[in-house]
Order: sequence, then structure tokens, then C-alpha cells
Amino acid sequence: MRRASLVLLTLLAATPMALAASGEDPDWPCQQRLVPRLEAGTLWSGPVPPGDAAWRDTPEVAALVARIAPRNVPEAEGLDAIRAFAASRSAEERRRLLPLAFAGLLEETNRQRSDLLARIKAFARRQRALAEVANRAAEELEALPPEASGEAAARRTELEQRQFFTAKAFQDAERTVRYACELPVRLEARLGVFARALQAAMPGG
Amino acid sequence: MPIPLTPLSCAAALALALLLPQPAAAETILVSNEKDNSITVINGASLQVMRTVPVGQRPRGIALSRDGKQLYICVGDDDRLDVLDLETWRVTRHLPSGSDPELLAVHPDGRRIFVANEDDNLVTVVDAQQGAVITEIPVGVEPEGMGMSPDGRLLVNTSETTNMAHVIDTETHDVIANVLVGARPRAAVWQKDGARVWVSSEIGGTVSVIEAGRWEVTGTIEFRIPGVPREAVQPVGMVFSTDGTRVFVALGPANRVAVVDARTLQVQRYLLVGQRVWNLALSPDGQRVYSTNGVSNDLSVIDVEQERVVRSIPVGRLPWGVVVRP
Repeated sequence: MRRASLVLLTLLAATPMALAASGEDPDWPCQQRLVPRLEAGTLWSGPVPPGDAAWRDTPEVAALVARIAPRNVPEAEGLDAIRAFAASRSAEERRRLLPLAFAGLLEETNRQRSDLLARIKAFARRQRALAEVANRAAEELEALPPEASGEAAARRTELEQRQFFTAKAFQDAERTVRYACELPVRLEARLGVFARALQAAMPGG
Repeated sequence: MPIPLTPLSCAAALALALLLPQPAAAETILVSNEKDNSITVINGASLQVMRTVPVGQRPRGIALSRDGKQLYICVGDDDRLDVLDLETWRVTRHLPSGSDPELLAVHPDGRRIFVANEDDNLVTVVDAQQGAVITEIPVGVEPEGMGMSPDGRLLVNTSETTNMAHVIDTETHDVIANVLVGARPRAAVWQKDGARVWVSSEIGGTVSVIEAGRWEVTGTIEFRIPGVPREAVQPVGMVFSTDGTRVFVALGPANRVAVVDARTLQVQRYLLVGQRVWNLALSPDGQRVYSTNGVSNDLSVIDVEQERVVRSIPVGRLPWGVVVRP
């Protein structure tokens, strides 16, 4: 139990410093840099497609985006849909519609990513709260006389238990954070795959 | 997933292959996959993946031995170098490296290897023949880039947290100069004439050009890409064209490789490559630049003459380093 509290104390001490060094959001627990929004310019060459509602007002584009944007649609299926969409259209149509499809996928991906980022940050805040509970219990334990008896002894047992279970909850959750941190990257990679397929289907692309 | 080969796709592949500049001799492209603990081996003529070789944990920096027969691999989580035999495709030896090796440079004498130890603030000098550590050189915090001067007399090591380029005399192992550069310096690359060394700064978003001898920054390159937020521009890997007139700079999550005029220090063009482009290598004939892309898990092939991206080759997860064997 002593070891568990040491781990927590070390985490509490180290995390804000590391974050301050990288100038990032203190609620961001991931090793990957926090990128709040994916920008069109990082994935699209040539004129940046319009970022407004133009894609929603174009029914065939809105349908394509609705079909392949959800995260549970396999990449290969999304690629097939993009190729089929492009194959049935003239060069002029592709020049007009494919950047709109990219704009739609970008907006939808950013929406999914924002949800994910918010959940990861909430997770980090919960972890910090757990660490604080464990630290308070540790401080109280230190303040208790070691040879306590009666009520003080009961208090000691209670504190030790609280510290143990808080530390356990903290560590169990910590194992999933690394996985959670990968999810925004995967969304970004998935958008990249679709963006390249759209770009490749552009006339002269 | 098997890809069905229809006559049409074969014809398209053939047409594409004919359009690509063909290397004079079959070169081999070697890529370290940080997350897969492997090296992807690509035939430079066909641009097909020939094999994937398992190596130690967290392979990042890679370099060829002077005779081109072996690949030295920093396997950071195993705290050693793996030596991959490029005939048998087996790891035949391990070399000591000090803790958490990330990047390395082979001295022109072919015997000494200089290794940056990321979590130990050291550069470790290793004797490749004896398999022993010769010495350790203290440098700044989080040593990273390793640029060997063309004559082998000097090594420039960058330290990510100290924001410096340390100039090391490779005979005496003394640090003879420290040059302040942009935030989180990564690669250090020398001009062929040894007159200047170029240092990229990931967080600073710049490249500093340092004059050798004076050890001062005499030029700084900034990158502005329309529609790309400034913080996404993170310069990392760099490579010179064969004639030394152009420098290709990988810009990380901007997903661009910048083409810079080496004389005027002006950016001529930004090429869209795969996602989170990290390191670059030039083909021996100078016709292509290869880039590792850590989020899209592929290698982009850039035609140097046309300044165009002509192909993407899927590799392992989190591709990091790339070298080309003639």
C-alpha cells in the first residue's frame, strides 16, 4: 500500500511539470500532442474546400459522407464507396464534388474527435481527483501515531483501505489511457486514407 | 487482404511503373517500424515490400555499415544496437549502446559508432568491431540528432530540451562549441562541403543554418503553409539533393515536405505526403526522396526532378527511420 501511494505521489509531482514543459492543456494525459482540430490544409493540396454547409446542401455528397463517416464503417468499404462515387461522374463533377466530400468528412471526423478528446480529458480529471483522495489519505495516515489503539487504530485501517482501493482504481484506469490516446490518431489516419482517395480521383490528381 | 489482379489494374501498374524514374541498379530501401519492432525491406526498382524482419523493441534510428553489408539499429527499449545482416536478413549481433538509444552516426573509419542516449544525456561512442563502449560524452538534455561532418572530424548532436547543437571533436571527444537553436532541435545535417550544418527545430518550427568554425546561426528558415496551423509545422528530417542546391525538409503533422533553395534559404514548394512525416532519405542516384509517415504508416516516394509525390508504399506501424542501400 505504501508503494501504491508513492506511485500516486510521483505521478502527481511529475505530470504538471511535464505538461508545462510542452505547453499543453493540463487535462491532456496523452503522450501524443493535443491537436484540438484537424485542418483541411494538412490533408488537402490545392484550393482548400469550403468549410461551411456547402457539402450538406449537396444531396449526393451529404449521402456519401453519411454513409462512410461513421467510425464503425471499415476503411475498405469507405474506399470502395469513394471510388464508386467518383467513377460515375464526369471530370467537371468530380472537380466540384470531391472537395465538398472531403469538407464533409473533415467536419464529421472533427465532431467525432472532439467527443473523444472531451472524454479523454474528463478521464484525466477523474484520475487527478482519485490521486488527490489517495494523497489526502496518505497525509492523514502519516499524522496518526504509529502505535495507535482504539478509535485511532480503526481510523488507520479505514484510511489504509481507502488508499488501497483508490490506488487500485487509479492504476486500472491508467492502463486504458494509452489505448484511449491512440483513438484520435486512428481517426486522423482514417480521414487521411479517405482524403488521399478523394484527391487521387480528382481530374489530373 | 488479397488484391485481385485484373488485366486493367496490371496494365495501370505497368504504366505507372514506366512513368517512375527507374534507379540504375536495384537499390534497397530499409524502414524501421517503431511500433511493430521490425524493419521493412523494399525493392527500390519494383517498390514492392520484399520482407519484414523482426528486430528488438522500439527500433528508431538506423544506419548502414560503411561496407553496406549491415544495418545498425537503435532498439531503444532494449538499450542496445541490433546488427542486421543484409544478406541473411537476421540479427547476427548486438552492440552496447548505453541507455535508450534513439539515433546514431557511423564514423567514416567504419569502426566507431556514435549513439544518442535519449534519457541519459549522453552520446555513447561504440567500437563496432570490439563490440565495446569506448567512451561516453555528456551533452544536453534529451540528445537526439547526430550529424557527422563529411570528413568525420566533427559530430553535431542536438539536445531536445536544452535547445542546443553540441559540436563534438570525434578524436578528443570534447564538446568544442554549443550553439543555441530553435525549440526542440531534431536532425543535424551537414552540407557536403562541410561549410554549414543545418539543424531542424520541431517545436520552434524553423531550421537553423550554422556556419562551421564560427559556430553561429547565420540563417533561419521559416515555413508558412496556407491553411495549415503554425503549430502543425514541425520540421524533423532533412536531406540534401545530390548537387547540394536543394534541401528537403520533413514538416511532421503538416504532412508536407518543403523544398528549400540551399543558397537563398527560400522555400520553393511544399509537397503533400503521408501523415506525420518524420524522416527522409535520398536514393543513391539522387532521383528520389523517401519519407516515413508515422500516422498513415506508409513511405512516400518523391520524384526529385519533378518535385512530385509519385507513390505511397504501406509499411509497418509507426515507421520512423529510413536508409537506402545502393
